[in-house]
Amino acid sequence: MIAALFLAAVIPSIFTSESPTNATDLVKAGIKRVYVPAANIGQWKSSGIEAVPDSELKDYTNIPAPGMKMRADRAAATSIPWVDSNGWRYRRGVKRAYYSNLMAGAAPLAAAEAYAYGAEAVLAPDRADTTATAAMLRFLQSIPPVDLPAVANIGVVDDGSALLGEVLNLLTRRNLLYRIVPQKDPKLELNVELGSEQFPKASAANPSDFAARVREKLSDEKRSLRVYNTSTVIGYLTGSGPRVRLHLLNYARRPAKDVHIRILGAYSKVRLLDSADAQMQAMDVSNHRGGTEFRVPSLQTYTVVDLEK
Amino acid sequence: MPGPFPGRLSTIHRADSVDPDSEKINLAAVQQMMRDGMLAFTGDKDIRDAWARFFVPEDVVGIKINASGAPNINSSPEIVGEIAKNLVAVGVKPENIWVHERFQSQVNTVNYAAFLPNGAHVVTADTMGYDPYTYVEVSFFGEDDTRSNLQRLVSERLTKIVNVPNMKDHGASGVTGCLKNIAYGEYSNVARSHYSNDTHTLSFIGTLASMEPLRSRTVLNVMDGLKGVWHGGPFAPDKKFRFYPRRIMFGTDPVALDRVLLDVIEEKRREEKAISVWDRSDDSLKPGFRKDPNANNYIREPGHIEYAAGLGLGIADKKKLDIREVKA
Repeated sequence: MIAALFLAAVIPSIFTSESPTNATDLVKAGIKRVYVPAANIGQWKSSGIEAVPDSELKDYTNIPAPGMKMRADRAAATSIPWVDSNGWRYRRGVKRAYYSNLMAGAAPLAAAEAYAYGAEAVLAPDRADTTATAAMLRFLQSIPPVDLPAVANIGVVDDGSALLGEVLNLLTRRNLLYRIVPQKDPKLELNVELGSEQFPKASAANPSDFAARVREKLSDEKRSLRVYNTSTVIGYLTGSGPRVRLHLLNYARRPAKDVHIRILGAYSKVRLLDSADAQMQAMDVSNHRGGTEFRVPSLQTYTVVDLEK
Repeated sequence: MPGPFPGRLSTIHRADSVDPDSEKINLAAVQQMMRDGMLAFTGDKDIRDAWARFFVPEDVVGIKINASGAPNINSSPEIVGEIAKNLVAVGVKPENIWVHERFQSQVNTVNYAAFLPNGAHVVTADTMGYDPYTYVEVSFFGEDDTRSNLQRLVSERLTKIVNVPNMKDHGASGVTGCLKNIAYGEYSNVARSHYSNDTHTLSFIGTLASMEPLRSRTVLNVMDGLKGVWHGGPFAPDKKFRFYPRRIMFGTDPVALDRVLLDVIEEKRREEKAISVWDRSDDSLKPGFRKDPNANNYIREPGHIEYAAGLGLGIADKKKLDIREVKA
């Protein structure tokens, strides 16, 4: 594995078209400024929160709400859900994101997602999510900051195409750790370049099959991260040497129970920081066949796992 | 498995054991079938001697029920209750009896507790969990979760298991009996073996069943054939696909029992003019499996029984079976 490209974690900001009646929650959450329509700036002057006109969001990339869809229209023996994750967008280079269309229930996950990938994000939460979003922001502020680079097993040469974007999406959803490289990097276990002999362009016509092929060529034994017993949790691994941090995001509304994790390398300390349960601890921790394995009993939205050797 | 009696099984039929209209089970009939069937299987004269062949007072015994089609078709609580009663009679403490399944929502639909001695448990893997250290690892279709973990209860607490499957048709494996009830019924993440029209039940069922400690702890099979499913299994909510063999089978060899089960299901399907569970034609792969007995969801794999025999789990050759039929 190789680690590179550190992105510092930033607490997301809020856009609101409301008056400052919910400012108390925002102050408690540590929000020092909000983005508001220019016409509303005056209302916020005495709120204790700095109001910034939304015209400043023009440099932000508008990205969709994260979440999960059950695809009832697709016949299948098992009901593997469709996960809408923006992880691939962040790994591809989005650094400033605007979640402008968050349906009720989506804002806490959006906040966690942006934080996990180190993006500077602005959220426009549904009014019903004010309290939950504030709670998530308080949790994000409580996480001890660390400067750890992303872990990758795969280098992907980005041709900028929409097709490659979908490939990155599927790699993210399969918890295959990659980073964008300008050219093949021999230090990585596998390099993917569309149009190469190993990965002809035609092979990406079905991005899901393509991601499966990438996984097969890498082999599961070389994967720095494995996530078991869930199809809705995506992990983002950072770190190097004696310390790693794993970000676990659950894209479903229901908690993911007994999520089993395997990380390559032997770590002796495993500490959980969970957005819903401050007391939760890693269970069944073991060093097993060259990796460290443990169980997260219940993952509601976001769990940070710190491991040390 | 296959235990001390490879190839041997008893099968007992009683016409009044279940009423097809109401599906009500005759408890007195079941009690007599449980006694006579077990005695025929072991050759003993005293029912306590028969059960004492397999269980000692110190045992912690799991009764692996099947509740996948509950409440319409499941291991009958009357049979489960009789098993528990016989275990207590040989000295097993009620608190060391663990009726178990995988999914709580299914078990909630059947009142097993009413038939069990005070202190016996009814639990599911939903609350007891799975053993992170005991698993079968395989990738069938490129699925990311490649592990199927054994129930914690089995690996950490039980010393013996009585397996109580039903007599059912199965859309992927052809039939579901002893082997599938302890294979797919004791492990997590097993439905991944079916995808599109393909299923890996051929090899996966026997592989799971042959894993230790499950293999050596499963010492007795009591197949509940009071009611059965001849099409649409394992769930079969439609009553028209249920039938009433009115029999119970006993054996230590899961392959032998499943081999007989295969004939029971095939015979009933022939009677109903349904395609064979061995049908592998493309014409039969069409939508409507739940309602049409001539439609297949998957290319079924009833060969999983013979495959399990190849793993040493029992005898599949019918000519070599010692079948002891009892008329009640």
